[in-house]
Amino acid sequence: MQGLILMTLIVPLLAAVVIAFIPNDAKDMARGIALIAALISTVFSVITFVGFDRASTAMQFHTTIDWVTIQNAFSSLPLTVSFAFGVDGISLPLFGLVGIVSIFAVIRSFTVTERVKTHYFWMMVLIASLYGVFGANDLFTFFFFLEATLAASFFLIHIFGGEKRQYAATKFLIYRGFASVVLLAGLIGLAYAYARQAQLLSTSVYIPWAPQYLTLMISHLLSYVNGIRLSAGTQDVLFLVFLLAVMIEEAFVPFHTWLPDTHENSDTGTNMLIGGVLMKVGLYVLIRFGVELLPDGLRHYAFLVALLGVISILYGAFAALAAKDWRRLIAFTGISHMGLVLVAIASMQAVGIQGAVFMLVSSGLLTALLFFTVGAVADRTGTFTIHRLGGLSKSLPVLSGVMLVAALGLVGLPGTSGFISEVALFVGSFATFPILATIATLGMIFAALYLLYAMQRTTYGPLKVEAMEIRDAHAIEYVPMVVLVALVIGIGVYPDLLGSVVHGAAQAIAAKIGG
Amino acid sequence: MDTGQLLTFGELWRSMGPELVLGGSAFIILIVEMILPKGHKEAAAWLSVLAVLLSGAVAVSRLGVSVTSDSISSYFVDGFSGIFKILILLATLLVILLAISSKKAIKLPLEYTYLILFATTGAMIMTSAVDLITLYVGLELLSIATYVLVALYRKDVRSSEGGVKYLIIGSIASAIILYGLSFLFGVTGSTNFGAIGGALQNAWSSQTAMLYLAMFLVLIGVGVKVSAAPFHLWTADVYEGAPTPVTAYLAVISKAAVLALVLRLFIQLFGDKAGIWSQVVVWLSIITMVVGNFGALAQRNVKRILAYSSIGQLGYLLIPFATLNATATDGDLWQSLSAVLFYLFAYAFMTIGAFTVFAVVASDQAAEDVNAFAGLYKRSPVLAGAMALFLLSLAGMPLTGGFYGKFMIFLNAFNTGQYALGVVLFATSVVAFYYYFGILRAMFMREPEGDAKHLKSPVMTHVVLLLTAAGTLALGIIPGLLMQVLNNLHWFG
Repeated sequence: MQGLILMTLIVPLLAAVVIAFIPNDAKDMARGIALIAALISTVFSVITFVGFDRASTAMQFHTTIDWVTIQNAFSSLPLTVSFAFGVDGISLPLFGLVGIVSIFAVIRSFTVTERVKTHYFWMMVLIASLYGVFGANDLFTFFFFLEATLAASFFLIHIFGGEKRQYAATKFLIYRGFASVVLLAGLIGLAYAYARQAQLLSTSVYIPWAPQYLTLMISHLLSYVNGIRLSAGTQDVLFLVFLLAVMIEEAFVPFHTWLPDTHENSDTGTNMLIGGVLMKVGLYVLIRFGVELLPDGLRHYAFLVALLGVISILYGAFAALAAKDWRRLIAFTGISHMGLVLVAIASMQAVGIQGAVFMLVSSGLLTALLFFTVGAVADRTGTFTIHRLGGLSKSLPVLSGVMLVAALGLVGLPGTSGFISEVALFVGSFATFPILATIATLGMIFAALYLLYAMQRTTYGPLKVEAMEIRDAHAIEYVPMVVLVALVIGIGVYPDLLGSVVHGAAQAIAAKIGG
Repeated sequence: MDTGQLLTFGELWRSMGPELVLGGSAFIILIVEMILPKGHKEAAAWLSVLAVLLSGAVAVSRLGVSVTSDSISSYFVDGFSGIFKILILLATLLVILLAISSKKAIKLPLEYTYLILFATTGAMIMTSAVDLITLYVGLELLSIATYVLVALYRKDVRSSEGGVKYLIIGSIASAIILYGLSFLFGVTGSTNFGAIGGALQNAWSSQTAMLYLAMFLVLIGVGVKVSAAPFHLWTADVYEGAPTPVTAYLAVISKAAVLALVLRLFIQLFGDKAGIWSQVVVWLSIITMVVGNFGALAQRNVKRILAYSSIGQLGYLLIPFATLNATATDGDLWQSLSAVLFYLFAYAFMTIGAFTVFAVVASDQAAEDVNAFAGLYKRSPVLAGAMALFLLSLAGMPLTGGFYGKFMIFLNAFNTGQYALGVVLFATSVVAFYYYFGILRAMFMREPEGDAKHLKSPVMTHVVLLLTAAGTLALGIIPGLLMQVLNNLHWFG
């Protein structure tokens, strides 16, 4: 079981290599290889999720492969850079999310007919690196895979996107490229700051991996927190660095413009991976490194963080209201919902952190589902533009129904995962920021407004477009929709499905930081 | 290590073996090239390959020796010089192979075969010299040979212009360095590093101004030679005008040798004042990174893009030098040097590789701008794939030597508390993404201009590409191989 995470991400990587060497016109072979590889990975990720020991808050499923040793990396002591993997209650739900969304993104991409080989090559790389990002137990490993997502997404957008794909891909690359630079500065700065502090306190604190102080291993750094606290000034600076990186990664206002452009100009499979999974990385970083390793920094800037969250909630909501294209609407919905998570993280409450992880998973599933159905509708009608759609509930009852479930889930209807997430988020937020949280609830009211308004225009009224192929969902389209809807409702009705994993970890973090 | 006695031949061989092999071969090839019959002159190029390989074998065999066994008073054979020599010889080998592979396209006069060997001999002397005179002789040997190399296309206006420009700028730089060294000699009364070091102990307090002047004159001269901003203005014109193999030579070997010179000089002689000069180098590095990478944005000619990119890359290479501040420990020093060397190896592979692809494409299209690369993927997947690898490595993407090299430099900056340098390093890399991706976009996403016939490239080109691509990938995937060597090196004995 030790190598499970490694196996999960190696399978799609191997598939990518195989796909690179098959003939250009072997489209079905590329599809088949990608599907099998993604399926195996998904099974592995589910096994990881089921096999996780819920009683423990430590990193599990450790694998470490030493890569290279840098002599004299810190204080004339060596540093071993390794590929290390492991998951805990915070990263496991997101690791599982990759498993669920990736297989459906692969299925969805069956509709790609040009340069199939290239598409699946980059998609396999993207999926493997998303597993790597959430399965990493090492800062270097994490960053390595984050960079790989950047390259893979760039090519997916650039080759397979819509009209303005070159513009969108370049924008994506510049924004996220800059964010990852800032993030790298933060990560390495964090490692060195803890190393310095550990060296200062080395006589009074037991350091298991002494005599080295510098470590890039996340589980090591997390255990530093118990005995070693960084000075307030250092935490402030590092926290601001992380905050900047997260703001860009998550497309928070004022760095939001790249996300709608990206979604509008990407194919649906890529959108499911970007919107459903990649857009959760930034907040994962904030929980992992901001809350757990820089608690004083977060506490110092908590109000600022919450305020930035509220700004994004409201801006996202208004922009979604005005959006004419479904994909832009989903992008702004995402920004708005992620703003909620930001407020909850700033609250530093156990329940808020639990809600944050819930919301990341819930929003990931729902965003993927919505992209999937919207894409399926666009296949048949030839448009993503809301005002050109209409009356679909008659001709496409199944797709319209599933779309409605996704929208209601995002609105936070009781019985869906969105509801339980929002409840936890708001309970946490109200405890710390009553006024800001009250304003944030406006975002939820707006969400109901813009999502249901868009739904109404899409599904009711007279049939507007001459549907090119007006057939309801195919058999193959049922699988993703049924599974995703089942998960959304499953988590909504029986939150412990996720809660049993997250709860312990959130409690442990809150206890550590005294929240 | 005795100064009083005459050198024996044995001592000479032990201390300067690789240089003697290379310099001697250069003279032999000079004559052979003249007497070879017309159709067979190509053999001279292969002789120079052989000479480099022989010299390399000698240099590798010297890598483990202790500094006391082979060195003479003006010439050190230590780990520092050993690893630099291997780098320089490896890069020279690749450049000569590049020249051979592009003989049809570029028609480089065969004088290059021995001129390159003379230049490389000079470069190797610069890495070992611990005497101001020896050091300067090495510098001039390298410089004069490269002045001629740049202007090797006598009939091409741009080559001649580049040659003259390089001659004038390079001579001024040499003169500035010499001027600085003369102050050093004036104050200390010796040209030998050992004696200068002793004299400096007292002289720092009594002759402060004079010594600072010496230090900064050398730094400025070196800045010009390695094209650090703001002394970089000649670079793009000279690189553009020079025949492509020579451009690769200037970008890799000249820079490496001058870096070796300045590192040894500043660490061994000016180490006491590291707190002063490191601050200047910090700014030099930041300005170079910014100017190089932003300068490339404005270029359309791929050769000029690569020229500006090499300026930016030099800025990265200056970071480990800049981190040698007053508080640096021995460990920090070894780490800095490892970072420089690792990045230089990666830089050599990816730069020479990129110039190799450029040489083929430019001669095929008779154009040097980005449009010449349009649709290259369709015309020659091998060239496009290799170029993509080199550009991604230059941009610092994971799994390439460029990424790991940058990561080392980054750690080095953070270890010494120079956070700003690390941040600028990666921030300017983002800018670099942009112009590298401009070339990638042309290769993969655009249709070929005109007739899209298959681009045939010579077998030797594929050999060079295979070597450089393998090096770039190996350094990225198994950096441990080179790290092992660097970790176990006795840098200064």
